[in-house]
Amino acid sequence: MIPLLELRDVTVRFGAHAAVREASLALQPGAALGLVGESGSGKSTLLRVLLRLQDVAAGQVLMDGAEITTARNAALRALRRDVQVVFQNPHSALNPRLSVHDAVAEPLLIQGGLSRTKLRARIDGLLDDVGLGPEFLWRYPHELSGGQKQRVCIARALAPGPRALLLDEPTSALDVSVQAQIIDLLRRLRARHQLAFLFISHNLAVVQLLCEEIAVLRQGEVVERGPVAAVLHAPAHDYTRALLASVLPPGINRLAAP
Amino acid sequence: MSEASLPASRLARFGMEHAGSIRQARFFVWTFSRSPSAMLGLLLVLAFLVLTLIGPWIVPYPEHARGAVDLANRLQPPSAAHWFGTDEMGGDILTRVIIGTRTSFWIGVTITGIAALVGVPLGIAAGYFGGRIRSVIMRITDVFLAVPGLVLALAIVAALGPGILHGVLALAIVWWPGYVRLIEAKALTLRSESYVEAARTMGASHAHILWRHILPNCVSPLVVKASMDMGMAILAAASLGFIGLGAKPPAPEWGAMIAIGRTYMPDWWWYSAFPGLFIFLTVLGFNLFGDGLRDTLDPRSSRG
Repeated sequence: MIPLLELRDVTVRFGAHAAVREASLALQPGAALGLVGESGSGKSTLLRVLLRLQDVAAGQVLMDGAEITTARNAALRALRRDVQVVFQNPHSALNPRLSVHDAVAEPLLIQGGLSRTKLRARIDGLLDDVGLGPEFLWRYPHELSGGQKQRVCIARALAPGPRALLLDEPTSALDVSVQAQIIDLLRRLRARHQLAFLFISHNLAVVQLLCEEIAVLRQGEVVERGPVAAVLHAPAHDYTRALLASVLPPGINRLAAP
Repeated sequence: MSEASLPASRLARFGMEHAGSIRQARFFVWTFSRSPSAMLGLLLVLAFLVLTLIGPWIVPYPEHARGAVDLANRLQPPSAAHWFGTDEMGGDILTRVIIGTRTSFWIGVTITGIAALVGVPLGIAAGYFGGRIRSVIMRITDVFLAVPGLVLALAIVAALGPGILHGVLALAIVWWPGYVRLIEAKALTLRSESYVEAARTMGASHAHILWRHILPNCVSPLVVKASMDMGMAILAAASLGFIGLGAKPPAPEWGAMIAIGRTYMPDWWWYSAFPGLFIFLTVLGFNLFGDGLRDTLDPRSSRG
């Protein structure tokens, strides 16, 4: 199967520092890949590379098998439609001057081709999808809770009808109880829309809930890759073992999906 | 569809769609009105604007605004007939000071307007695009900022020749770098906001991002700076008038009036005092108003 998104030996440098070193990843259509690693391990940089927000020093970025490493403007249109992102901090991910309606309408208006009534119906549908009622339509970000903002961000990401969502620690800025709701929402959305997920987290329990595959990143290098169960139960790399020991209480199974 | 065309339901729909904005506006008014100094500023600014608007119709001696001579009544102290006294030509100072608000108003608006129109696009280009564009724009800006504004304005007026138009032009030329600085810093932080990156992943063009995300979020600091600069620009123009490089007598301009009145100090104190008082109150008003706006629109940057 041709991966929806693929990185081949990608290196990213900030000055002399290599944030990502010869990293290779593949996200299959409909699959969910968890990307874990400590702070500064290059997780978010990899995600920015996949979104073409960050240029690479070496290596290739591919979408549906076609190279998009240096694609610009029109050549990027497919990526912009099919791959969307949800950022870590919902408080800075929404323009304070745009209402919920305007924020969710933005990607639809950029794509164009929707009449007024269809636009409104689509926005209502998207908000319903993420569990927000019509009373939220004309609210501004400062009138929303963190969880509600993140729901708006997810609705906005779903608007273009993407095939993949890239999620950059979408729950780490939220309260624990809200985290569970958002995770649950993401699982349902994935099933309903047959989405592929690239899920960045340092929370292995959450990765286990959402993903089938996992890649472990350390200082910009992918040190281990494989099915979640295999990697978490029989880690091959010392770093993965250290990561497991540091973040998980004994008996990770109790957090596993039912 | 037919329902939507009824005025009442239209109004209801407007109220619903803009409920957030209306709540926000009410909150701004509430915050602003809680500050006594901001309200004093608002009062002074409103008084200035009212005098600008209706001045010619309320002054007691309209003909004195154009320099009519009434030598029988020269240098009269303040009295019931001449509240602020008269000048050396017998002109009513109250009349001339009130008519002077018009001059000051258009001077202030022109200087800050030109400065913002030049500075904002340059600042946004520098902050948003970065790289070489930013280097070039900011180095030029630094050169202008390195020379004291009024001194540079003096040099420009000296080259162009004295006169109110040249004075305004010179001040506008030295005024725009402040706006570049302000907007560049703001655009630079906005550029890396998640919502701008999100817009980029949606395939938004630069024009869309600038118009929809960057510019609206620059409006608050811009309004604050512009309202403060109104006062400063009026003061700077009066300074040019005072040293004889701006407005020329008998044009009723505050700085020029003080300059002539100075020679009649201290016995004929009212000649200089009342134009000076008007400059003082106007500049104070715009400063307090701008301070209040900043506390309201941009609460994080103040209360230091």
